[in-house]
Amino acid sequence: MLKYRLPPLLVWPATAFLGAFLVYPLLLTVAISFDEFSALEGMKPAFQVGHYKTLLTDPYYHGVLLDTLRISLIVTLASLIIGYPLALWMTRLEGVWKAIAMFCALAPLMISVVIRSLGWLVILSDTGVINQLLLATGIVSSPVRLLYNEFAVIVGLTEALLPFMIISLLVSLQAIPNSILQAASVAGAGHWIVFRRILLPLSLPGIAAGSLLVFAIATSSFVTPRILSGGHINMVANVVVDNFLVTLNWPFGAAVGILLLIVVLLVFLLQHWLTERILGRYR
Amino acid sequence: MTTHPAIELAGLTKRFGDVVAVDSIGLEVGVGELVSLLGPSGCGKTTTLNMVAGFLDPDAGDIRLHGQSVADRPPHKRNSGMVFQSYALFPHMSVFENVAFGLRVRRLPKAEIERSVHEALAMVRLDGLHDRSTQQLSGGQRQRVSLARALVYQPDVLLLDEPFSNLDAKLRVAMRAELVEIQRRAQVTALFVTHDQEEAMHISDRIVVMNAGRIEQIGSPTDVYRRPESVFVADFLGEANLVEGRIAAATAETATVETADGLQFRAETTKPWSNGDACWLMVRPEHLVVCADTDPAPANRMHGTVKSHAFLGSAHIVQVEAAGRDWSLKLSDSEWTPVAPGDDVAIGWNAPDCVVLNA
Repeated sequence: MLKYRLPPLLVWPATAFLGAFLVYPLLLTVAISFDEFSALEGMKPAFQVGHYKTLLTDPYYHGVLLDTLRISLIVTLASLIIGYPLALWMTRLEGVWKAIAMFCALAPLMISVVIRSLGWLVILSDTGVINQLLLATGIVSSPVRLLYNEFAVIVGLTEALLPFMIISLLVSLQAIPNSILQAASVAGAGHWIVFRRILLPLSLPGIAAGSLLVFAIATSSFVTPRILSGGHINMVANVVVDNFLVTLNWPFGAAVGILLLIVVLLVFLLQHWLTERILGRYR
Repeated sequence: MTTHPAIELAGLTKRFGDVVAVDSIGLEVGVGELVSLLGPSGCGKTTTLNMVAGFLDPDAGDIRLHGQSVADRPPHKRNSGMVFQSYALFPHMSVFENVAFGLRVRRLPKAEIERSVHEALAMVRLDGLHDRSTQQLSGGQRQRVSLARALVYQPDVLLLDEPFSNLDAKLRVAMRAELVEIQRRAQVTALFVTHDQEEAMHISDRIVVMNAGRIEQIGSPTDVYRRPESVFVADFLGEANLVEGRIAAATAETATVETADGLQFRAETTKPWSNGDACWLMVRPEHLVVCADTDPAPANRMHGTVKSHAFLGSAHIVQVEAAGRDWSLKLSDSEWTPVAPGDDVAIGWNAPDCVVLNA
């Protein structure tokens, strides 16, 4: 067994790296989130839960959290609905066509989020391509407001995160042998039944992984929401950034960050429980 | 009402680019018959099966199941069952659900599904394992689940694509006998693809030998083995000593074959030959014998030198060099008289034991 023979030495660099740059900062963040803060004196070490209390009782932050969850959920569903047929189609391709399709699907990752968001500004603005088209065809008489609202943020995030969904789906779809689909088909299952009873459950792990990935990245995004909402919509990460960089209220920012982490972990658990339940129904 | 063959292929053709994978083949499989498509890889046997299943669209020709053309029907509307080399079980379903799949798709009542699945599992001797996950089964058990899954809804035809290739040698042989028994009991017409000639001979009512997209010969296992009609069939089924020559003399029942270096062999034949026809003479290794001088001389006899000897348990394989050629002999252990490399021996065979083939 290869697993057994790998010397622990090989794992040390990764362990040390993650320890130094993930676990330690995380613990630090937890510690800071209990500190006191005043505008005049800055941070003072303490152990009090005031920041969490504010977060949980102030309606403004409820709104931010709900906006973030709603936008992330819609982005996740949208990238799943767009990504699934695309990934399915890509598994059917062969050779150079597969490589080209793969490149096209993943190419967006090579361009900075800032530049891509600015690109959406051009497309969605009142004088942008879409509005010009709508005006020219007479469907609308005055430009539709596409920018600086939730719609723009959702479009921008979906486009930015779609590659992550496609990669996850491809991995699990490619692992399904064609003969299994053929076996279902010969046994009398039409396309819909093959999809619902075979393809869907067998690709569920990929759906779950991709959804979680997209959801987690969406909840922690701050560039795209800021640019495409023009600052009208604050997502959780925007609050964190503002507290750390603008008001320098690190303790409160840390508390927001920890809350976000807990929310994502809860979603992860929910997702895991759901997947197991759904798969259990087929057994 | 006229009875139609269960499977009827007429002028069936499939091309992949410039390659003709299946070249206008015709075949009729009777109801309840088990027919094997046998040939080397790339001969078109799997392509043919995939067209019958509906996974590939033929470029020309027709496929009829019980008299009905199914060429335009998708796989799920052909009422056929299929067993795959890779088992192709649904990994997220229990044994029961795997077998029940075809019945659930057909929306049968719950009680009937329950009964049919248990019957099918009993037929493949897996009763009691219905709750298992397919991952917990051995290769042989998996293939039996797959067989039950394909038979449970009483398909018109059962298609098998090298179903035993992934099993180890002993199990493979055991599964053959079991398959024949199950197929007989289910009274289902079966089309079986294999590259293993022994497997085809073991289970088939008839064998279709294929080569390069064409059918070389169709016949019972005895027919194709004892009376091959081409050098390819003679060579592909079992071992064969093949000698090239010309017809030197021929009657209605016999022919004398003369090789380029002047050797003459006598054979019995049912085909009409004319003097000078180019031909091949084929004799199976097990029909060659080492003769003692006291034996009544067989029709064909030569002296030669033993080159090698190998003991396979039930038989001995002896290579003898005679008349400028190597001859392969397969001698059963019970009739074995020891020879060693370097020994001078006389070898021979009887005229009815060899076949004259078209060049």
